[in-house]
Amino acid sequence: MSMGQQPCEPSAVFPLVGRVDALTSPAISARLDALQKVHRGTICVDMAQTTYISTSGLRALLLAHQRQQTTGGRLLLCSVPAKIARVLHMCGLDRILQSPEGSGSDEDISAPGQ
Amino acid sequence: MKTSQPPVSSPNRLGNIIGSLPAGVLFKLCVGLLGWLGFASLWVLPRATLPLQDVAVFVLLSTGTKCLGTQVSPHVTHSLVGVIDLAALYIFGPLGGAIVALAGGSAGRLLRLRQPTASWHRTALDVLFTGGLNVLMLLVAAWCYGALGGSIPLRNIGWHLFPAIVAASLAWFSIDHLCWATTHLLDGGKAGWRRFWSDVLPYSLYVELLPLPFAVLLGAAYLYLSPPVLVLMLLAILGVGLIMRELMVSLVEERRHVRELSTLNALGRSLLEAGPNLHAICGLVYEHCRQIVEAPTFVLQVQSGQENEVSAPVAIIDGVPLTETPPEGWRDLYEWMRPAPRELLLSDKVEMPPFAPLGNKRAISSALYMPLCVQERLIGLISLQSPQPHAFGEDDRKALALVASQAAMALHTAGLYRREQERSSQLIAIAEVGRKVAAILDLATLFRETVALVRETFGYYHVSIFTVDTAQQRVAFQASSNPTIQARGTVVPWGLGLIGRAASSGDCLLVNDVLHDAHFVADTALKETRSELVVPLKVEQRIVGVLDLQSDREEAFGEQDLFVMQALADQIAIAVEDSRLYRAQQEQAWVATALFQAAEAVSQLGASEEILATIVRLVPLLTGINRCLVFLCCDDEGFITVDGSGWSNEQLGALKSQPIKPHTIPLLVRVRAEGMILHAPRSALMDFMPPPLSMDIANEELTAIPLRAKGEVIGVLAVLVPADDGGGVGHRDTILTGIANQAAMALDNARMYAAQREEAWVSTALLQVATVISEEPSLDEALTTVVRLAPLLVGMDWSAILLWDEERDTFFGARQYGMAPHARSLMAGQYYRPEDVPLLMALMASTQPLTIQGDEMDHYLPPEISRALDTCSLTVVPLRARDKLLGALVGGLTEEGKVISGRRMNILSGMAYQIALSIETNQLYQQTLAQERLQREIELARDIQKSFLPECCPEMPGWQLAMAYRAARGVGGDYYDFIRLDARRLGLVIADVSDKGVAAALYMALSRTVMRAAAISTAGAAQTLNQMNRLLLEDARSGMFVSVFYAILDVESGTLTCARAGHNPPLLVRSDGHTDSVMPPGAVLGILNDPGLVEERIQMEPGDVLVMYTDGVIEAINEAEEEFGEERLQSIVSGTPESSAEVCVRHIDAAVRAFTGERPLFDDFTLLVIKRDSGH
Repeated sequence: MSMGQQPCEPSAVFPLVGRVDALTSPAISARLDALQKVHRGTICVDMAQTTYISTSGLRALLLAHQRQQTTGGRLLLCSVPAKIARVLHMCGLDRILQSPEGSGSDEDISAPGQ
Repeated sequence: MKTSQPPVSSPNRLGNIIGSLPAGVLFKLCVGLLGWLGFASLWVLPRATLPLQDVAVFVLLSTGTKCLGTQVSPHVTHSLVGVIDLAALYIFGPLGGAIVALAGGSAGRLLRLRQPTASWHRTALDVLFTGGLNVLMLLVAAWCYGALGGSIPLRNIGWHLFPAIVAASLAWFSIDHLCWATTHLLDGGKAGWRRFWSDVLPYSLYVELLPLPFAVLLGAAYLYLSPPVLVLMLLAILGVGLIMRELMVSLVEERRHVRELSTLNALGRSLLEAGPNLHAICGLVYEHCRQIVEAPTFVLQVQSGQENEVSAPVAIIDGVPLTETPPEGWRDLYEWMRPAPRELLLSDKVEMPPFAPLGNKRAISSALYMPLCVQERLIGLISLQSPQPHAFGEDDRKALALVASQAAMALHTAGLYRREQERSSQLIAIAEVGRKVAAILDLATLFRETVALVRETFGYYHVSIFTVDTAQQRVAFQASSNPTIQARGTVVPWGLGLIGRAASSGDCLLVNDVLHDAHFVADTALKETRSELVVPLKVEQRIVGVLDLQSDREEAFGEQDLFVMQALADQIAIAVEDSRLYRAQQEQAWVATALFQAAEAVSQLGASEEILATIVRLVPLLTGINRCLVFLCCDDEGFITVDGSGWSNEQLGALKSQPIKPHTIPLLVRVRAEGMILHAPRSALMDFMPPPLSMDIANEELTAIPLRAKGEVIGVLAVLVPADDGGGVGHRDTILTGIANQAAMALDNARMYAAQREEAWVSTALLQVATVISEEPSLDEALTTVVRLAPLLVGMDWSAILLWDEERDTFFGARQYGMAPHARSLMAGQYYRPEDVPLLMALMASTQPLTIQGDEMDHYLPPEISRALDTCSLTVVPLRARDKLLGALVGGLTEEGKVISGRRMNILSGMAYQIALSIETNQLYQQTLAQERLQREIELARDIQKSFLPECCPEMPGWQLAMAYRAARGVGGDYYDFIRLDARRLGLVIADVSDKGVAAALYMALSRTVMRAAAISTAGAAQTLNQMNRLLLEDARSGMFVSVFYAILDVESGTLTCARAGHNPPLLVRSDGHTDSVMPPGAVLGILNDPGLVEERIQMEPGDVLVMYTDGVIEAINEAEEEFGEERLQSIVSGTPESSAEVCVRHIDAAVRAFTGERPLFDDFTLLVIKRDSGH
């Protein structure tokens, strides 16, 4: 699946503010989940004010990405700070968690259980 | 001696007897006729021949001497004519002498009467009298001379002739003076007689009597001396006459001056002795004027204190003293003189001034007007009038001018003294009135006494007093000296009439002719009012009243009255103010006493009913009103009548405790809204009351006082006051307000006391519930006990507890107590979805208790439940803890109309809160148990996980291995591993599982197992990780992943083959300090089918160091929320190239610990360092 340079037309924007770590990610995941139940199109996670993201946060985003993919939607990361982008790149997750600017390559995530 | 003017005639008894001819005239006529008859008889008797020429010479000489005579008094003239006449007797005999005396006297008289206006008959009478008298004097002298041996003509002159000559001289002198004295007696009475002798005799003896014997010498000279000697002698006689005349004139002037001075001196002494007595002064002036000149009409007018008021203390018209006011003409005369005061001497009526006749019965021929002036201002007038022409001379004018000046000064001084005396007496009167009114403390008495005192003291027609309220612009009548007005009072509109204008402006108003004043308002009881003076009563420029003075005379008030009344008004104003202050203090004391009594009475009471009963009993006692009612506010904006006094039990019973619906009585609503005392006609309240309460209310007004407690109106005290009871309104309102405040405070305290008691009762009940809950070992038992307590404490017929099943989103019946048997099945483990029961749906949205009753039961409950419950009132209280719905406490009442009171509702709410807390506590307890169980499981997992991690680093010659590991939580997500692949190769693994906790630990265990299996079964690092990824993906269900750095070290060659799966790039520090990141591409494992791993080969030389770490190292944060960072790590490892791997690990660990300080680890800390020994 390739999203290419398609313009970002999010049906919803999810602001991600501050640190996203093991403490905050459960709540963020719950909120994202609630949002995904309502918006099944494109959800843009606004990371303009995200200061830190841990593997717990990455996992929460990956799970949300998987859920959105399951329902035919997309989860995009918007306004990703350079520091966060570096973490995504280091982990190789920039291939999965795309930003509208198209900094990462589009790639299928292995379906759970596959 | 001869007179120049006839004396002023005056009435005498003789004149009345003989008719219209005055006695003096008649006497003169008789004497003249007698003399002329005697002269005629001489011609009949034998006679010798007369030398007519010589006789003519003597006639001329006699006439000349007569003309040279000296006037020694206003009416008497002295001369040497006697010497000439007697000489003619001695020379020519009686006939010759008579001719000389008759001709000389008559001619001389004619020549002295020079006034052209003299009437002919008066002139003829004077000539007749003078000539006749001279003839008589000569004949008598001739007879005496002859009888005593005298010879005619003179012969043998010797001492023998002396007696005859003396006798002739005395006879001549005596006859002359006796006749003139008689004329003065007849004209002027005894006073004229006395004044004649006193004025004339001293001079006559020297001037007339003593020279008479020299007539012998003149005769001898004529007979025996030569003519030239005779001429010389005659000239000498004329010269002596002239000298004597001059001497006499000087003497008379001197004498007149002395007399005037003595007169003035006497007048001055008399005036001093008379003092300020106006009438005494006027009497003295009249007496002195009369001494100077007699006049039949004498009027002395003086001006009194008022500018235009002229009186006549002395008024004698035609010799008759007047007792009444002189005719108006005299006032006209005074007014004519006022503009230009001047002395006026009028000798004949042709010169009379152009004013009206002065009322004399006889025509006025001469007058003398002498103004009395002070500083050219006319203060009086002396008027003398006479029917005779030339009755007053210049000497009279001068003499009267002196008297007038003395009189003016005396009158002026007396006027000043009188005015000062009047002012003094008025001030004394003011002080007296002020002293009396100051001693009166009662205002009504003060006003009444003040008008009486002022009227009595100053004698005004009417005196009244008003009080002024400038704030309300009201003038209130207080007292009047007129009984009619005092009885009915009077209304004075603000700003209208003299009183209203004075009250509004604060200025004195003086109107001396009210009939022509546009602002004057007449009172029917005061028809005689002509002047009015209105004086405001002021205290410190504040108008407190008005003093009204009315007079029945026009021009009654002057500046002096204004001054006096202003001073009096000040005294009265102070007295009024003092009285007001006294009354205010009295009222204040009474109010304080009343309020103290009220406070004392209500403060000892506890219950509201007792307080209200005391209040309705005290209000009539302390304020004097008859009826009162107390209303208390209800929660629904309505009122309830709680108590009253002044009504019968039946009347009160019809009203007491009956609710008054909101907005049905406007007055109560207004009092409640405005919180102020209101006065209204009784219809404002009583018309809304039941007829039994209002039927016997007559002429009464209503006062409604709010009962205020803490700024809130909690009730209304309504009192009925007689409509005509105007007194004491101010202090009554104050007392009522004070009682209302005391009552409100006491009621509020009673309510607070009752509320505290209820709160205490509620607290006790809730404590009981709490004790039960705390003592019960389990929630089930606690609920069982509480559901039994609820009916007991709240008074419900049954109660039940529903619990909320969060998983099923339903309520289920947990406990019940007291329900009917057929209704118990509703509660026994039954589940109710909120959407099926509207009451439960409403309960979920509410935090407050809900009560339904009557028809609402069918609306909020399903029909089968409603029927089964068979309850009239149902109350549901939500069980909530921290806004979380835990269940519901339900209570029911089966008796119709019965509701749960506020206090019992509080208990119910408290019980619900206790139950909710108990449920929450139980849930927390269960959670704690679960957490403890989980914690134990975590501890076990940690032990298992630690068993997965190598406890120490493998020993490899030429290589140093060191590691550090700390987990952020009980079970971490990092791990490291050493895999001995063969004798030369050692696998080095450092990984970080996503997320933390048990799941991460389990995933870590899985990853380790998979990693070991993949490492053994594959050759290259990337191949191993790809194999690991595939294995992880096969079991990937939780979205977890792992980042791995895997390196295969050939310990002999120093070759390091490595692959990085999304892990933090290790740092390769060469022996020279150069540092590189080892960062071959590759994504985390467990997510992507192809993580894109690239294998990289690194040759480690002796001294090179490879530092592997997880994100817990570089992402450790300090107190300032700063990250430790890769740069800081890099600087540490590059700065210690010579250190061993162990030292390097300690340095890094210490640096991170120092950086984070007391902050706990946020993420797992894993550090693995391998260094090739320098010697290899």
